Amino acid sequence: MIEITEDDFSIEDVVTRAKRADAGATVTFLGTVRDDEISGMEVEAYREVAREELEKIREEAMEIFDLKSVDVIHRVGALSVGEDIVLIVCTAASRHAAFRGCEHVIDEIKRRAPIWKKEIRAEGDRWV
Amino acid sequence: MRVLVRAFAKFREIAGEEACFDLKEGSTIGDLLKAISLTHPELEGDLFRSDGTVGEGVTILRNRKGLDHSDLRKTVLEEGDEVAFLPPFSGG
Repeated sequence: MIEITEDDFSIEDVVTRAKRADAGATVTFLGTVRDDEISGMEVEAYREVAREELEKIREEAMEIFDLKSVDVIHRVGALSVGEDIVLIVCTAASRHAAFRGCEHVIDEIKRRAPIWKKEIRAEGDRWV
Repeated sequence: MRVLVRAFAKFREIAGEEACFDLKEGSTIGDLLKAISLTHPELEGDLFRSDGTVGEGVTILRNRKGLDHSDLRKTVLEEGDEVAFLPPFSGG
């Protein structure tokens, strides 16, 4: 599943759907809004292009790391401190592939997906 | 020739979400970027380095496909093209 959404998600639901008989490892990455003296965060995406890029990143990761599945959910819109921004769930036959694959996916999202975050601060908003 | 320009995040706040630009036939992406920075001078520091090349981390898409910065001055636009200019990404 690749999703860019304003809505919150259930990690448990995504993990439950991802688990499969031929995968002995499930690794998740959850990115959340850090309390960095901000009151919140706004996340914006060029949705059509970001979705295509996330699909490409998933396909590449599955091939490179021999993953069984990759799910990515990225939030957009206004988020408060502590809210979830991004969830990645990777399954693989063994843990090494799942860990490495998950790290690859988040690294490539940060590098390639047209998504932006703006910190909301008392002294003024700031794009990061 | 008319092209549609789309901007996102910091660039959207300055230039607006969408705008049409009328350009001479044969104009390149480089010509369009100059026209954008003339219309919105406050973008110039983010769009261009001091040597006139496009800023680090800035992405230019033509019809949703990324362009290499070295090709911008030789990529000729066509009527109805959509060009998006994007600040450095910070998702995840």
